[in-house]
Amino acid sequence: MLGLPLAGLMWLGGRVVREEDAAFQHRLRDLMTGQLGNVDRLVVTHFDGIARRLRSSTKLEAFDAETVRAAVRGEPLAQQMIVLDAQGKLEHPHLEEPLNQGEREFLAESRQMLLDGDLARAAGIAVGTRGRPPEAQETGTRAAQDQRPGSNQSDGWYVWYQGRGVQLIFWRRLDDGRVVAVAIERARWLADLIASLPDTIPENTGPENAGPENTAPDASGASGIGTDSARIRLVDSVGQTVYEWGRYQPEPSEVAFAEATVSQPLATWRLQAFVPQSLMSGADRSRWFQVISGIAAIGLTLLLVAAIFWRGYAQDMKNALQRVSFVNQVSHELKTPLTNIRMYADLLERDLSNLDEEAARRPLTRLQVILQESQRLSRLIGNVLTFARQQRCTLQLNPRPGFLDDIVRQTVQQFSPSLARLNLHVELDLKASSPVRVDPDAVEQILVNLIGNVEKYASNGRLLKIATRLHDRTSIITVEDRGPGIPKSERESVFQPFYRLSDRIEDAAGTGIGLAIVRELARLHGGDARIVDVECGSCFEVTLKSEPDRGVAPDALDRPHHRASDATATEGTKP
Amino acid sequence: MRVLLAEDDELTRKGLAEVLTTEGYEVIEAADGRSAIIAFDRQPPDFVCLDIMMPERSGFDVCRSIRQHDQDIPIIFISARSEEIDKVVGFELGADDFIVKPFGIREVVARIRAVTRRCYARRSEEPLQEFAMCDLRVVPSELRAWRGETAIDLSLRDVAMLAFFHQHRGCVLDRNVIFNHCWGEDYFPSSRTLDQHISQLRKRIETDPRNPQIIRTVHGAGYRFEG
Repeated sequence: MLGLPLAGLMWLGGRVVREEDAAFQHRLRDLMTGQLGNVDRLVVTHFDGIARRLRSSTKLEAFDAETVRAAVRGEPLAQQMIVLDAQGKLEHPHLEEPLNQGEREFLAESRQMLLDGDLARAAGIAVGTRGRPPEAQETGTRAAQDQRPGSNQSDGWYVWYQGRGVQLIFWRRLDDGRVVAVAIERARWLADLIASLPDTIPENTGPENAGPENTAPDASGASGIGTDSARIRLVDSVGQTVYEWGRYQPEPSEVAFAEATVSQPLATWRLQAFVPQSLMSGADRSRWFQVISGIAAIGLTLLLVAAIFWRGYAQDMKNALQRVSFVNQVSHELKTPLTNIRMYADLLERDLSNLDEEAARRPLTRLQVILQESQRLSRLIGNVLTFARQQRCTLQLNPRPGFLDDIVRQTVQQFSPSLARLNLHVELDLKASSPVRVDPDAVEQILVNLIGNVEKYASNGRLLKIATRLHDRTSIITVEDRGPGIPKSERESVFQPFYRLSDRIEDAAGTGIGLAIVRELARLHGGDARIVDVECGSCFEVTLKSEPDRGVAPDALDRPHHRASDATATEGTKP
Repeated sequence: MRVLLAEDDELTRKGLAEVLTTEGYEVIEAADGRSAIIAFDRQPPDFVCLDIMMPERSGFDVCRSIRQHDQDIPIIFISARSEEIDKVVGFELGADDFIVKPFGIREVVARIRAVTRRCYARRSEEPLQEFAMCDLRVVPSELRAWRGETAIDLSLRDVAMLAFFHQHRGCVLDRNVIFNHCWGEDYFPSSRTLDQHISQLRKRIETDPRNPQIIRTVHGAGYRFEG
């Protein structure tokens, strides 16, 4: 009853958590991408600075070798300077002039690139088709430009690849059409670039965090996610890590959580962000915690409500059981005086039957009441004791061979005075004539309860019909009345202890355990008690599994009950 | 036939004794377990009625003690404790029947008659052969009379009285003679006891109790069975 809503809540909670989780991952990815953007801006700023600086260092007075070499010496960033004339022809270092050590080394690496006119094209010089097309470049030399040929830009970056990696050349086109280009010392710009990158990942954009080391603005707006525990990696065009920072140590094979390309001139490089699992699942866990605590709160509330109802029910049960327990204790004590009342009433009845009929009539009628009431009291006590034994699980049967019909006749006989007083007509349809092994006391108790119920609740129907039959190894007893009947919905509940069809006080005669006992005794016999459909009133059907007692001839059976109840043959019968 | 009745509640004991006496038994009363054993040893009865909850010695104790002397004597337990365990213990101890309090005298009478039939069955000397009175066939060992297929339950005293009439068929029997034979000499009932008993008996055995054919009244003298 409580599990279903909780399971529903769990399912909903799970969905919410999964959606929250997806949203969180999305947000984290945005945040990390933002971080990568910031890094990229740092790179751009760094190269813009270099470009600015080189613009001034390339303002040359003349383009002879001496002047250029002086400029190279004056610019620490420069590895070498290249001057192309307006036709894209290499003016410096001039191949036909004597070269110094640096120029020779540079040319050994870049000769092909220079001869192909890639740089000239990149710088916007219309170069003839002399030389080989770019796609047929020599192995180990690949060219890339950041400017389209013929653009009007007066300076820019030229990127080319050589065995050691990316090589950067800053070019500037002069007014006279010459192009001055500076090949930058790779180790130098790389070191400067790395120095300009942060060594920690800023947590968020809060003003208190915007220290000098966290110059990068964080636009993501997410806070408290813990990006400082991530790792950002700068990867070159062949996937080699150039530089990485952040506390997290990703696995070698780990796939980047977010990735961005670096702007020009390092467009083939990538920035990768790695986020530890704990950052994602940590958030996950906190979501789960929230959801589970929410569900737990609702569950607790439900439990509390259930507990309040249960307490009420348990209190009722406890009271009822206490009542039974108490009555059980006093029942044995009640039995001795009750025995004497019954016995002396019987004796008195016997004495009265010897008197003049006319004189004895009134006392006899009154005595009948005493007898019936003491019998009723006996039955009540019997029920309570049986129920108490059932509660203690000590209820056992004591089956012996006997005749079902005899037990029915005897029990009905017991009730005959009160049935007559209630004007209830008794109809017997007894067809269980062969002996069976049942507990006669239990069967009598079953009948006593069923007949008692008819007396109590259905006497206005004016009919009590009891039928017996044997079917295979089953004895079937039906007790039928023409009273108000029992609604279909209540047909199982009435067999519950302390259950009543109506809680109105005036209807609440009895202890509320009668039908529970009927069912229990029937089940101990391997059968059951249930209510079957009839046109009018109600009909209780009791089945008892019983071995037909073939070993004993009917005549050999002792039938004291039958004889004792046989009105024609019993001593001391009522006139 | 002699019955030992052990029951600690005096009212119950007196009531049961009256029922048994009316049935025709000689009753020895005992108010506790110890005196029950003493009474049994002094004058062995034909069967025993034992309450279970008694002072001094419980009914179970008494039963065990009796069984040491007599394995077969019928024993009926009377108890307020209807718990099965009591029954099992009782039957294990060799109880023949149980009477659970509260009981009506009809139930007691029925059970006692059943036990009496068993007493007759176990007795070696058959006391009385069955005999006929008019259309009635009296079977003393069954405590029954039969009219055709109809069985009529009789008490021990009924049988004794019918047998007495049968033995003295044709004779007018004085009330005192009947009384001495059927009740015993040390019994002093009211003068009406015999008349009432015969009146009750007639209601059951006579076809027309107002015009009795079996036991006829001889005015001023007593009763007579014509034969």
